Amino acid sequence: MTENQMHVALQVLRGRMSRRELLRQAALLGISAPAALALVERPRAAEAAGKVVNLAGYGGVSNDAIRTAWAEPFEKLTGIHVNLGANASLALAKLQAQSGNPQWDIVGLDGSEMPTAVKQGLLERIDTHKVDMSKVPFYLKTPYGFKYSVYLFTKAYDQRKIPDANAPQTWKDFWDTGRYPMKRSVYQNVADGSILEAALMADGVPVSQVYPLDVERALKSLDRLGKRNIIWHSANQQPIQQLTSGEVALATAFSGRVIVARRDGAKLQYTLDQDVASGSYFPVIKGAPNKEAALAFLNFVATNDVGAATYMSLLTYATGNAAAVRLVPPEVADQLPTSPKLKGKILYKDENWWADNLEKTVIRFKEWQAA
Amino acid sequence: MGVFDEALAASLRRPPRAAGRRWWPFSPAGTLLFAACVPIFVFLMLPTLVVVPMAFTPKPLLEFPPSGISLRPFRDLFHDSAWMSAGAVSLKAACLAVAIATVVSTMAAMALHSAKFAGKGLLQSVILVPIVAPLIVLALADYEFLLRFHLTGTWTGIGLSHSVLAAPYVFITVQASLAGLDPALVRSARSLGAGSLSVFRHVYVPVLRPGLAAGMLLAFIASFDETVIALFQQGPQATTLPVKMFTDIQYELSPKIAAVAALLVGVATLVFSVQAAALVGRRSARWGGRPAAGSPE
Amino acid sequence: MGGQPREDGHPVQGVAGRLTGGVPFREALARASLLVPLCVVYALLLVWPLALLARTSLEGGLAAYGDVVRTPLFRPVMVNTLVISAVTTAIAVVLGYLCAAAIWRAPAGLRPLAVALVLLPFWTAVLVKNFAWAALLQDNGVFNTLLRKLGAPGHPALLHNRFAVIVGMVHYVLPYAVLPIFATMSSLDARLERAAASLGASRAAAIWFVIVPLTLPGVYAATLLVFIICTGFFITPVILGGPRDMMAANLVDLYARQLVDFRAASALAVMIIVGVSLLVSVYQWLPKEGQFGRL
Repeated sequence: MTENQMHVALQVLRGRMSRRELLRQAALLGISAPAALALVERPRAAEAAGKVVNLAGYGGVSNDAIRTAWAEPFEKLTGIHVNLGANASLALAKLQAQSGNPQWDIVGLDGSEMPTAVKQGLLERIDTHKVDMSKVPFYLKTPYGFKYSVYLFTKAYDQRKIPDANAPQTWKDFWDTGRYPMKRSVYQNVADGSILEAALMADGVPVSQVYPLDVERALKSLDRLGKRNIIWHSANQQPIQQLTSGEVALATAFSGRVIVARRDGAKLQYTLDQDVASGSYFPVIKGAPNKEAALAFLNFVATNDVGAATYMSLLTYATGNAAAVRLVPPEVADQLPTSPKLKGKILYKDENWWADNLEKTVIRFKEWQAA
Repeated sequence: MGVFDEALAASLRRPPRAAGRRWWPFSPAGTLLFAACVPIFVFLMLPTLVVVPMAFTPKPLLEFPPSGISLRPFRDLFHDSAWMSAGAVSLKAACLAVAIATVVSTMAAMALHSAKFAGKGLLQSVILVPIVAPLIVLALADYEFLLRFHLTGTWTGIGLSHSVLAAPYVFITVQASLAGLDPALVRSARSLGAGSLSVFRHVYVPVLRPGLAAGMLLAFIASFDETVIALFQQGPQATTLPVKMFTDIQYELSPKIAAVAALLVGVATLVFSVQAAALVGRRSARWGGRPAAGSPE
Repeated sequence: MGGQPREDGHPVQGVAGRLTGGVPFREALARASLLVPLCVVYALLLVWPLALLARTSLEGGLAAYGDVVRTPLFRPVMVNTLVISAVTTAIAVVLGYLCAAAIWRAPAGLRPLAVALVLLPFWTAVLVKNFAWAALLQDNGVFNTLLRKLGAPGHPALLHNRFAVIVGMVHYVLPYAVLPIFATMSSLDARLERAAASLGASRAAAIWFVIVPLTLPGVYAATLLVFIICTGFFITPVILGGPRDMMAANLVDLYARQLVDFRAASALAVMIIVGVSLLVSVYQWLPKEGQFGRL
């Protein structure tokens, strides 16, 4: 198992990386040799054997990447098993926290959902003695957690049906039903996804003026696209399935999933202009039964450079442990959402606006959908 | 009038073609009726029939008609620990539900057997309430209720909620089979000196058996297939098979789900056939002159 | 139940007699004690949760009810529920009538088979049926491919819309429509038609003026039963429908599991169960025996 997992990480980072090379890299970053070797050696006898952390994530390749980069190495190191589930959402966090006996210790939350969760008292404050967030830049952390992932909400297309030359570069293109007389698969979670922001940009709003969101204008823009041209999806792997099966040729998607699909041979691509960058946290639910184990896992995610680099390379997503970008090949590093090379092109999601307007916007959107 | 009636009865018993040879035994109207109904019957059977071949799709994507026959979806299913544990959760919850439902409903049916008192009808309607009440209301109510006892997200909670759902089914079938029991038999057994346990064993049980078996099967299926209540109470260790199907279907229609569906259809057909066969067997036995159930022999 | 033979006592008289049905008190007590477990289970797992539901909905007075009724989602969802239920009921009752008639008229050998065909869907879970319909109606599915081969323009969407929901719902409720109508038909005296014929009525007239009116009670019962079932649908609109086909149960789910507003969810649930109870009382009141009593 160790060999396999190491193999994957190595395959991705460089063509072939010898153990000596890995140790050299580890030494450069100040990771002690024993710790680095622990990642490739046989698992130690687990003193915390039988302990578990229940983490609700987003399913599919996102969970696969978390497993490869962090969960498996963490289990080798400590013996604590990280149980990965799907369906992370603010609603799940709320239900868990209010139930009095949460079964998920950690529920993934998008940046737009975090402030609401904090306001409603659903989360545990992070003890900075147990989780070392020193490597995380200030804009990626809060007292209740740090961003383990920063990703792009993008427009993905099927290269078999839409040649690259004709790809939709902007959201206005995506909206153009004359040019693409077909259905688009759209993520219907307006807080986790960014379809409202996209709708505004399709309507001509420049990137710098998207916030505060004019929700009614965004809905009118969606009406112009036409409900009959939209297939709604609610799980993040769905658009990839739909694109590869040929059900649709255009979809909103998260960039990392497109990249993984391409690596597996699918003829998909996405375009960078006007993509929306946002991030997800791993907050700990209030009253979580495995709180100590959860904090230990978060500490691992925040400090382990090899794991961070693996995650970034697997999905081209940025992560909280920004220092680990040194281990990432430059072609990948330039495409990370936090890369300065992308600064003018993409929109950064405004979490403060969402902090104040999440619930009413969600309801308004559902009303529009039902109409 | 009696003669007329007998003649009519006799004419009714004769096969319809007695009047003269016709190569098509039905009237034009009758033919039209049957012709109209064939598509309806096909419509009714279609999903059940389609699901089974779909489960043998060799490709990773669902297709009908399938391009070949492969056991891959079933192999994938049995190797998938998430599905296997979902099945286990469903099984545990269903067993709990059936156990509770069987005990309470059988006793209730015995209590109401040939009883006559004010409010019996009302009581029977109340017993049947869980079948009629909208599931969403029960699901929400059970969720809020079990929240207080920290039983949400456990198979026990699901089993308890399902027991109320299952009870009416057992009650109906047991009551139906008890209807064939002459209360005089009970009284005569008692007056001959039998204690309650003996009365139960020798008088009630033979009569109860078919109704009990049928009721338990119905109850099991009611609990196993139930989705809405289980959806509200789901947790990482308490996801039932239907709930997993429900979430997976919205995500992607995969052959694995078809395999689960085919298995469920297979089991349902099996149970149904066994029931039907038992019913036919019992009918012929009764007409074959065996002693009526419940006799003191 | 002491194990001693019951005394050959006299039936109990008076008020107590009416309560126990004329049965000696000791036996009545024995029966009552057999009822206790069921009462306990129902009280704990049915009455208490429902009472809790009502109480949650009333936290803060009737505010939750007002909120729910006033949200812009309420009207479209309720209209959806009524319209979809009505359409489904109409189709199901018509088809059900035809099926029931066919079974009734079927030669004796075919009848059990026909009944089995109608009952078999009962035993398959609603999820299995919905999954099959989703697979059949999807864009790459059988029906769409067939339609395209027959030359239908463009890409007709057969899934995630009202059409698919109604197909799925009709499929589910059809057995419920057939059974009451068939029950009424089979309780009809077989001599009626011959009596009408002997009085000079043509076959068609006999059916139209004699048989059909007598089957109407079964039709009313089937209509109401199917309608009641339709209003409670949850799974089918989610799997086969789109956001525009949201029904009442889905709205409760939205409030409870997505907006996590249990007060509003409970208020809506109470409204639903009150509505259904009214419909059920109407159903109980319907004459079942025959429109003019038994002949």
